[in-house]
Amino acid sequence: MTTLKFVPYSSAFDTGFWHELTRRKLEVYRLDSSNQSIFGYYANDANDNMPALFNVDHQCFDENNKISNQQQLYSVNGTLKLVNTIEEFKTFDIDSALKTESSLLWNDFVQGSTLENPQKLNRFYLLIFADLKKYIYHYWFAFPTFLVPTAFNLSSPVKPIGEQFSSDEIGAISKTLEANKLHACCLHREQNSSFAVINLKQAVENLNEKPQSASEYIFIVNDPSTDPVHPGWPVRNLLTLLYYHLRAVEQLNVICWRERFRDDQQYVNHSLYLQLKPESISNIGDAVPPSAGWEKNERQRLGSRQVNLSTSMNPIHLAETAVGLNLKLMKWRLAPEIDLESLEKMHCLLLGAGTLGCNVARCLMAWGVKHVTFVDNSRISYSNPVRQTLFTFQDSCENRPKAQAAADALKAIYPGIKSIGYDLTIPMPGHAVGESTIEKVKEDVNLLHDLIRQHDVLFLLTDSRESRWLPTVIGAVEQKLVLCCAVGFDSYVIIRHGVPAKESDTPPTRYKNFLRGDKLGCYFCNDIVAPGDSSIDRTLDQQCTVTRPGISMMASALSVELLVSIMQHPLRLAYSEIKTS
Amino acid sequence: MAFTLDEFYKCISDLYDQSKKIHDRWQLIETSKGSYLIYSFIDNNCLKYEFHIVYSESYSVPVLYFNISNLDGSLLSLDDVWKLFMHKKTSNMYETITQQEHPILHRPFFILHPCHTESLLRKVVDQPTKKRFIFWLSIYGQSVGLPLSVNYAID
Repeated sequence: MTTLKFVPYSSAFDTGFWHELTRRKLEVYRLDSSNQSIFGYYANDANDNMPALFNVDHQCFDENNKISNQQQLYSVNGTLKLVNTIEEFKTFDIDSALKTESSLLWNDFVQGSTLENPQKLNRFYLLIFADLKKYIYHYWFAFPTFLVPTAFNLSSPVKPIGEQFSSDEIGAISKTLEANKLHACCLHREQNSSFAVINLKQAVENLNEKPQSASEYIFIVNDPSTDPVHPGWPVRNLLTLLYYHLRAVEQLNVICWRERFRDDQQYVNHSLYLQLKPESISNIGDAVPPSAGWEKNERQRLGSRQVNLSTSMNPIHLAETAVGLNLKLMKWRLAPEIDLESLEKMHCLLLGAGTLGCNVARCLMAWGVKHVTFVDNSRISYSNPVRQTLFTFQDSCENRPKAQAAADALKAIYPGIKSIGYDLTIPMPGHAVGESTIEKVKEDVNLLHDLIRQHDVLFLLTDSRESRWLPTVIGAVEQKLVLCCAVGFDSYVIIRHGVPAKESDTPPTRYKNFLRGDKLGCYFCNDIVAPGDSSIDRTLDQQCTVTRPGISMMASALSVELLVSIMQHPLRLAYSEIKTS
Repeated sequence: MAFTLDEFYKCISDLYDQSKKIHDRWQLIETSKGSYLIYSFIDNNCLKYEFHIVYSESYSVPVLYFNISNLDGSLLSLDDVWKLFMHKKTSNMYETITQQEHPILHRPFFILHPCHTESLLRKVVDQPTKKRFIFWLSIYGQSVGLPLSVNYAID
């Protein structure tokens, strides 16, 4: 005689479950780790070869919101245990938790309430630790079932219902079950080859009264398994329940009901028919029998699982993905060939974190540039924040250094950016260096040189001509792309400095009508005045840049757009500039 | 050809009614912030597909939101999603997949951006609203693995 074996549930989470769990942990439960009532559900319409899935989703926390408007979903009540530390999770007493959960199940079995409400055939226990800093969730499901009887003996091998019933009978059965929403019920075969639904309680009473009529009764249980010979957990629990309540029945007929609708066609023939010879277990009394049910993990061992949801729940990841995707929109129609990766990798050094520096940085950030370094030697004053778009009133109250404040502001706007600020005075020609400051100036020159070496692009955005001189020279020596942007009252100038070619480089021949990049001049070659101290003998309005407020925004934006265009050219900065006629 | 909000609601409630009739699995979710349809299923590779049809106020058209997740609830990345549909890449519609926050659930979903929906719907401008809706759903849905029974196109 063969014994019946069962397919355990496989847990399945909806993403929404984790979102709702996180919200409740933060807003409702907080440190409360007491048991919470939740529910999950299973379906009986899965495709062949699928595991017997047990689902939990975001609605599972809401007692009143029992799965609405869905057919073929069967809800199961359970207990959520959300512990507060990983230690608590790892040392959790799983045996006693399972015992408690299965005693709830057993009490309903023996007191008869499961017979009245077959929703109580299953319960589950869900142990979770949520690491909300890393968005890693540790979890372990238990689906309690009983180790009694020790074996379910089959009178004949398990077979699909098509081999047991005629197609007329199957038609009659499925017609009878059409309106059935119960997890399990019983069919009684009537005279005129039709069937009548009776509830489990009634069926058990009838059978205990007239055990010889057993062949007229077919128990129906909605089955999550898709296996051709092994039914799922609800069937196992139903059999235990019936074995407990039935006294002297020799034969038990069960259909493990599996029903699929595809394209308005109903399929039920893969349902299983079982015929068993029950052995009463009523003698075990009210004591809760031993139980099992902790789910195996991916390695098929008894153990917990974990899921890392940082990519879909960590706000920093989300911002990075969203910014990247938003830039990619340009690729759809407007600029399919655009190279955004180069911009992302580019390291930009901004000399000056004032009006121009703030606006250039914002524009770079909007293009997806990830590395922005600021150099400035001044502090934020009360007049600054209204024009210098990375600063606030609070920064001026604290008199913060501009370079550091600008870097912090960029990171506050978008944590995906890497930004550093250096409080550094750029040594200037014409500004006398005293004995005591010689060493400091040498250090500053070295630091500036190092910074320029470490970056790909240099923006000259300081407020005087002569502070642009040393970076211009170092930029040329290091063959970096230098963009110089300067504003007047209602005018501005943006100059792309020439990048000296390496001797090994040969001039390109592919392009006609181009001006070689190394032939372009710099800010100073294009001027007739040598750099000197421009801040002496000037009135205050001449020392501070007095400019129409919109000029800086336009000039900053155009400087960045120029950089982006250069980066799209196949020859980049090394050589060329297409000459416009 | 745009949809008014009322037309949209009529379309989704009709689709939902028809779904019930043919035992399909569309769910109608009605909230104070708006109503939308959900269709979800688990494929044979144990990937869970979830599609939402939500109204876009700014484009006045329906928008298809979707996510694909593993059984532990972790979402597939855009790259994984692209790989999944690579073989279906017959049009450049694909390039209009982007990620956006679901307007009602406030969770990240992929969407087929609605910027081309209206021009697509112009092709069926003479058709009744319901037909236009199904036309849109069949085109947008099939490119991202949404099964749609032919029954919906039959009156």
